[in-house]
Formats: sequence, structure tokens, C-alpha cells
Amino acid sequence: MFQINERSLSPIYEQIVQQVKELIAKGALREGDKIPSVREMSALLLVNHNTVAKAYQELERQGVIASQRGKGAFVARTADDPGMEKERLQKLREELRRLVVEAHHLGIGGRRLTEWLNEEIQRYGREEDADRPESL
Amino acid sequence: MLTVRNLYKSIDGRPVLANVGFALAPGQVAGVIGRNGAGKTTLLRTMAGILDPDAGSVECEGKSIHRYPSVKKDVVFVPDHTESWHGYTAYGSADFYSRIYPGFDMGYFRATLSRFGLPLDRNVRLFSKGMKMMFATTLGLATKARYVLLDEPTNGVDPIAKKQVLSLLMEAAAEGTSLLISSHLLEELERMTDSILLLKDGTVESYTSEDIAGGRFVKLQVAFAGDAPERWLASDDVLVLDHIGRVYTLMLSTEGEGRAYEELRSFDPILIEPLPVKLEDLYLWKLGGGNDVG
Amino acid sequence: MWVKALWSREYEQSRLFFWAVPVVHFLALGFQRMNRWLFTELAVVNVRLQQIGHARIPFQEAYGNGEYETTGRLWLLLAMFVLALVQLGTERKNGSQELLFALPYSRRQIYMHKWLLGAALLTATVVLNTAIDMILVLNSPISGYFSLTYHLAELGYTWLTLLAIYSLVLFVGTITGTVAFQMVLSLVLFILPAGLIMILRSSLEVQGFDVVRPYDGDIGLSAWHDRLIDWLSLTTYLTADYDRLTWLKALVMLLLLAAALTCGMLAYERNRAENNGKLMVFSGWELALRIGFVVCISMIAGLFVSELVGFSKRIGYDIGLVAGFVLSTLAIRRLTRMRFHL
Repeated sequence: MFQINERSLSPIYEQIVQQVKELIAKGALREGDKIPSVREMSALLLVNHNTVAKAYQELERQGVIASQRGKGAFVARTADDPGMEKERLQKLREELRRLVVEAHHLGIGGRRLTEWLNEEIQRYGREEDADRPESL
Repeated sequence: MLTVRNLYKSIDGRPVLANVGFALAPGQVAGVIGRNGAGKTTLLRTMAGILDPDAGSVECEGKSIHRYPSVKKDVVFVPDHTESWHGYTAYGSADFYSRIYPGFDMGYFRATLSRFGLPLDRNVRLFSKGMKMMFATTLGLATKARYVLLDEPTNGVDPIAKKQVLSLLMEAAAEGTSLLISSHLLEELERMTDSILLLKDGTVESYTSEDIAGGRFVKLQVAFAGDAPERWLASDDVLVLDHIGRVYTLMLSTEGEGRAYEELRSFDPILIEPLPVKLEDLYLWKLGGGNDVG
Repeated sequence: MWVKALWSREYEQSRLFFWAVPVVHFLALGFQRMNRWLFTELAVVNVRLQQIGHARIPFQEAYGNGEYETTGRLWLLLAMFVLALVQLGTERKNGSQELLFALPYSRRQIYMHKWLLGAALLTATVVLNTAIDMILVLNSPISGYFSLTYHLAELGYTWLTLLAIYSLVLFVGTITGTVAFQMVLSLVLFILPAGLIMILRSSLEVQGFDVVRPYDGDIGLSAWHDRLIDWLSLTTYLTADYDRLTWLKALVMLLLLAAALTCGMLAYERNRAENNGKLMVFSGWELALRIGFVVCISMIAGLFVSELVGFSKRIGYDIGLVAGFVLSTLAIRRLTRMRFHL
């Protein structure tokens, strides 16, 4: 389910954050699902528990998971109340821009890029915006 | 806190440990690395009280384990063999330990062995190598001692048993047990530990696992436009890991105010790309080849 | 102070022959008594009883002057010797020492538990077998000669002698690095004092110093050095029959016991586990071994060559001495550096 890439440039805790988010986006983890405890995750991935705890803190800060005292951590209602919404949206736009610029230099046209984007949306994306007050 | 202070130990007239010092905090996971014969086992055996230091001390919560052996109720040593249990069954060994370590958790011992499919009533001598190390690790952790010292717990163990042993260790660490693990599994150690103790020439250098390089050196991919600067590449501040054509993968000391890096810039390379520094790189940097920087 | 786990560990290691010891002791003592007085034809018994009646000290004759006890002592010696080898020597090789030293107990405690196990085994077998023997004697034709003093004296003396020698072999185990060398050195200690005196005397004689043998008055009494050899030989104590048991002998054994136990404890506390496999684990004792070995071998070689050459015993001795010195120095240097995996 989880796979740590030793050779990746991004630190292990970021990889855990990213993978939990991917699993939720794919629908493999749903709202209210319990996610493995720090102890279980640490033993599963053979990663220091402090690293796992750091990843979980980040996920909680972003509102992806919510922990209930004594019960463990659960998948939160997606995008209901994303933590650090502004920063993350800004970062998302920047990354999109970077990708489009890169595509330009690689000679990838808009149609192909849109095709690819749709593929990824098929895999991970949601159809409509989350039903909540517009903030941007 | 398990503290090692100014430890000296010579064996056969050869100084194996020379002024070794570090501390293992409660809940901390530390890895001990070093070449074969660097003194990893000697260090662990001295910390367990099997060997007496020539000078210096090992203190558990401020009390010398050599002078007050009873504090070793909280320090358990797991050697890389199970010879001392040959003749005992798995249960017999646990029964023996349960009379010695006040916190011994027989429930944990039984549950863990059955989880791994190890029979309680079989003579330990008849276990396979992998089973032996799983048994030894479980036995050590079941004491619920605060500090567990493990000497190459995965040595000669198959990949499945290896993963199981390491899982056990990670679970124990998450519950607050301090671990000191001597091993050659650099990749695993890097992500399992908080800190790394590198044994070299009888001394110990400490590194945090999160930032292995710690600003001491960088790993770069470099490509030169013209001829490679041979003299610079051969200097003490540089360690070339490999090169394919004109592209070099190398490590570079950042000490001495980054002199080596500035010199590199002066060659005007067509590519300088930083690469992530892994524990293996540190190992090579510190212990590899004839390069003796730092 | 008393740790059941340590006791159980020591017991586990020697359990196999633990129960054999009282049995063997019985075969040497009680069983022999039965053979002599209970399983023998009445006519023979009567002849023996008549002999006893004519003896100078009848009860002593009835008990055979303690010959069964002496044989029993030799069997016990073997048992205690092996026990000491198992407890101290083999633990260096089979991971046992590593386990014990890592436990939250002092080495003094560990050593005391080892020693107490041996002492308990010895006490149990001696008391049990003496009791059996007393019952047998009381129900035999020689019941009239029953002597409590005799039984208690033999019991006490056997116990003390064996405990002293057991402690000595344990002590040798604390300074030697392998079980094989523990055995060799212990055996050497049995003959060392006597052997050394004999070698020294012969050497002096070859060199022209005539060692005078002053007789101490009584015709036929041995010379002073023969008596010295007697007093320094453990075999004298082990094989002493009933009429040779003295308080002085017991005192010597008591002193040996105290010395061996103290030295063993002190050495065990300073145990150098990293030197396991070498002949000696302490550098001081290693030096003593080197000197002792070179001195003995040189003199023996001297004596040997002096017997071979015809022209001059003295020159032959000197040649042998030098050759022995060189060879033994080289040999012991190599031996003390080696690590044995026995």
C-alpha cells in the first residue's frame, strides 16, 4: 500500500504525506476510515516513529486526517476545511504554472497536456468542486 | 539516559575504543556503523558489562553499570547468536529471563512468537538462523528494559525474517524503548534511527539521521565543459564516486569555508546538480577507500 | 543476594551428571560395605570378624581403616573436577559467560552461586552417603564396632578436602582461558610442588651441591624434603586413610579452601572475557606461567641431557638447560599468543 522510495529527493515524511493523500484521492481511503497508528505505520514501513508522527502532524495540519483522543487518526471530510488553504492553493497554482512552462519547453502542445491532465483527474480527481463557500 | 563517557578499551594490545563518548536518550533509536573490526561488538559488549573498560564508564541514569550491576535491569544485550540458549526451549529461556527482569512481559513474548510461527516448546538450538534472531530479538524486547542493545540483529537472516525483526524493533521504539542497533544495513538504519554513531579508529562520531551530511559535505553531479580538473578531483576535499563520460558524481567537503566548492565554480562546469545525501554516502565519505578527509 | 535464576542456570549446565554423583559415591562407599559384610558367605564373615578381634585397634580394622572413604574421595574428586571444568571453563566458549555477565548481577554473586552449587552437591552426597553407610554398618555383623566419631571424622575431612580442591580448580578456571588449559594446569598443580622440589634437588646434585639428607632421629623416617613433598602434595590429603587423618591436615585444607575461594572470587570479578581462548586471561598470571614454564622445562631438559651424555653430567646439564631455555621460551611465547577454539 505504501512505498518508500530511498532514492527520492523528497524526505520520507513528505513521501508519507503524499501517499496518504494519493490513497484518499484514489478512493482507497475514505472519509472516516481509520489510518494505521504511528506504531503500526512505523513497523510497516520500517521508518522511525518520529518521522511517521511528523507526517501525521502535517496531514492533520492540512486537515487531511483528524485524530480522536484514544481512538487514533481518521480520514477527515475532504476539503471540508482544508488547513492552510491559502498557502496550499497558491502552491498548487505555482506548480501548475511550472508544469505548463516545462511542457512549453519540451514542445508539448496544449491538447496533449490537457489529455494528460484529464488522465490524472480520472485517476485522482473529483468531478465538482467541494460544496463549500467560495474563498478565492 | 544511557551515557558512555571517555571509554577506552584495548584488546591484545590494540586500542579498539579510544575515548568513545555518547548518550542514548529515552526513546531514542541509534544505529552503530563501522567497518568490520572497527569495534562495534566490543562497544556493545562493554556497554552490557560483559567487558570491563580500561578507562571511562557506562552509566544508566547516572549510575555505572559496571559498579552497580543491578541497574542493568534496564539494559539488555541481544548478541548476534543464541548459543547461550542452546539447551533451553524458547519458553524456558523466557521463563529464565522472567525471573531476572521485573518487567518481563510473558504475554508479549508468547504473542510475538506465535505471530511469527515460532514454537514455544522447541529447543532454541533447532531453530533456523532467521528464527533464532527473531527469538532473540523478541526475548530482549520482552524484558521491557528501557535500553536494548542489539548486535547485528539481521546478520545472516533471510529478507522476510529481516523485515519481521526490524518491524519488532520499530514497534518497540514507538512504545518508548531506546534501541542501539549495530548493523551494516545502511538504508534501513537511515530511516529507522534518530541518530547514527560512526565508529572509526576507535572513536565515535554522531550524526542525526534526518540530516546525515549536517553541513559537512555535499553530494553533487558535475559535468565539465573541457578536460576534467584532475588535480582538483584528486584533492583531499573531493571524493569521486563514479563518472560516466564527462559527468561526475562526487562528494565535496564544505568545511574550510567551502573552499573546494568555490574552486569548482571557478572551473565553470556546465552542470552542478545537488543530489540527496544518503547514509551510504557518509559511510563511503568517512570510511571508504584511501580518502581520509575529516 | 540469593538469586534463584542464577542457581537454575548453573544447575541446567551440569544437570546431567548432577544426579550421577551421589550414585557413584554410593557405589564406592555403601555398596562396597554391603559387598564386604552383607553379600558375603557367613564363613568368610566369621574369619574376618576373628581378624578384627585380634587387631590392635579393632574398630579401625572393622572399618578397613577408611579405605572405602578414600576410594570415594577419589571418585568425588573426579566429579568435582568435571563440575569445575563445566562451570568455569566451558562457559567461556558456549556464550554462557556473555549471558551471565550481561545480567543485572555482580560477578561476585555469579561466582558465589557457582561455588555454592558445587558445595551443595558435595555436602548432599557426603551427608547422604555417610548416613547410608552408618545404617549399613549398624545392620551388619560389625555393628558392635560402630563409631560415630569415625563417620563424622571421615565426613568432615572428605567434605573439607574436596571442597578445597574443587575451589582450587574453580580458581584455575578463573585465570585460564580455555577448558583444556584449566584441566592441564589443575593437573599440573597436583604434582607441581613435589615435582619442583625433585627437579630442583636433582639439578643441585648434578651441579655438585650435595643435598644433605638430615634424618630426624628415628631410624627409617623419611628425610625432610620427602616429608615436605608429602605436605605439599594434594594426593597425600586425598588418599589419607583413617589413621592418617589429623587436625593439621584439615587445617591445611581449610587454608587452601580459604585461599582458593578468595583468589577465585577476586579473579572472577576482574575476568577478562575478551581474552577467552588464550591460555591465560590475565597478563600477570600469563607472566607467571611463562616464567614457571621456562624454569621447569629448562631444568627438566638439563636433567634429561645430563643422563644422555657420557663425558660430564654437569656439561650435559648445562647444554640441556640452555637448549631447554631457548625452546621453551619460544614455545610459550607462541602458546600464550594463540587463541584456542576448544
